[in-house]
Amino acid sequence: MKVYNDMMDNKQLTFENLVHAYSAELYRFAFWQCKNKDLTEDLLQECFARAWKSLHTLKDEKAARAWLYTILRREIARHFGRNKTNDISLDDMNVDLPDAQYDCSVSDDINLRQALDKLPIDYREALMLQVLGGYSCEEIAEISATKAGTIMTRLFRARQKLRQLLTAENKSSVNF
Amino acid sequence: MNCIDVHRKLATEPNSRDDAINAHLQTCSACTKFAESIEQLDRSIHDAANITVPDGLAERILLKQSFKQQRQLRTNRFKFYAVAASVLLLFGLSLNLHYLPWQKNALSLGDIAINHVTQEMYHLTKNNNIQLAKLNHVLQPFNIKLNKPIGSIIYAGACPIQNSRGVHIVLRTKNETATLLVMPDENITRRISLTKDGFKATIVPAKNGSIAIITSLDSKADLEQRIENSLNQAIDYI
Repeated sequence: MKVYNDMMDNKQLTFENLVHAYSAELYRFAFWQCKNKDLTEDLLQECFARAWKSLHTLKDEKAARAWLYTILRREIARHFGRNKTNDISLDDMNVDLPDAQYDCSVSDDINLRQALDKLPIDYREALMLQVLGGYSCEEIAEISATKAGTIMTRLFRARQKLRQLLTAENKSSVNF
Repeated sequence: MNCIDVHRKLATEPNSRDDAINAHLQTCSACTKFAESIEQLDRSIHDAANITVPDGLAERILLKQSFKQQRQLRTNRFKFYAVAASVLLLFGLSLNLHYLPWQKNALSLGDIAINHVTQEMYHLTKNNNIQLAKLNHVLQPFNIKLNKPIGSIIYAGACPIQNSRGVHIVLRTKNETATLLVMPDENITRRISLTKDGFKATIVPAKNGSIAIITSLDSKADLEQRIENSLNQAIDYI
């Protein structure tokens, strides 16, 4: 019984550490997927509930962060009923050369947030994992259970789309 | 590496520049400008996406999780008690199966049959030779008759058995003696055997009630079966 209690205490401690360490960044990631504070918190709660249940499967503490992202991502996908992957090769896409007029500094956070809202969810997910999470394409592919090539495509398109949206916004502001 | 390759690489992973990209950027001002704009874009995305997290988020998560665990614990306890109750119920039922009314009756009937024989042991040593007609005369009130002899009958008489009446028959086959108890009011649904006090009783269902065949444990193993076969061939229900 003592062994069991010690094990439970250890599990509880690990769980609390995980919540304190990662709940904030996971909240930000989830928020940009569902854009609703209450829903974000519910999904995060569910993510940690699942993490609690399968905490025994987490063997390497270094993998905890990506593990939580994977759980949360699945939880979000389950909520929105999407599990399909859309594999497109980056080589199949046209790459436009830089827009010399584009200057991100003229855009404020509001414009950028609106532009982020307009991104397809798969693009935004990959972008947030990279920009907020600091993950590489391969790591994002692992978290998303998707091919690395597909993630590269999404990231490329996400930035391309953002640039287009922000450029259009800047031009309309100037015109206005 | 040309400009398109550099753009692809920068727009997918701006923070991982290898030597080839750095070499290209040193000689291409357009790509350098592109790299700077991408870096700036990422910084802006980071700042814009870095929304304020609600106060007490971690504490709320931990609190809700602890409530959930408590509920789970209660559910598990309930499940445990439910399983324990089911096991006890099954155990109780399995015990009761041995004491269902009919079986209880049959078991006690075995006792009664052997007790009846041991209390009237003197019938076993008689040397009478009762004829079939006289035997049928005893059996007639119970709507039974034998159409042929089943052995040498040394005793036949009506007896009180349990709370009603039956027929007590003692027969001798070669040097072995056996007792038959015809019990018209003792209904059973299947045969049952009981060994007690040096006797073995086998009670078989009959058209009316049941018939007990009681033999000594010293008898040949097939004696009961031989008597039962003879009885089945000879018995008529009137």
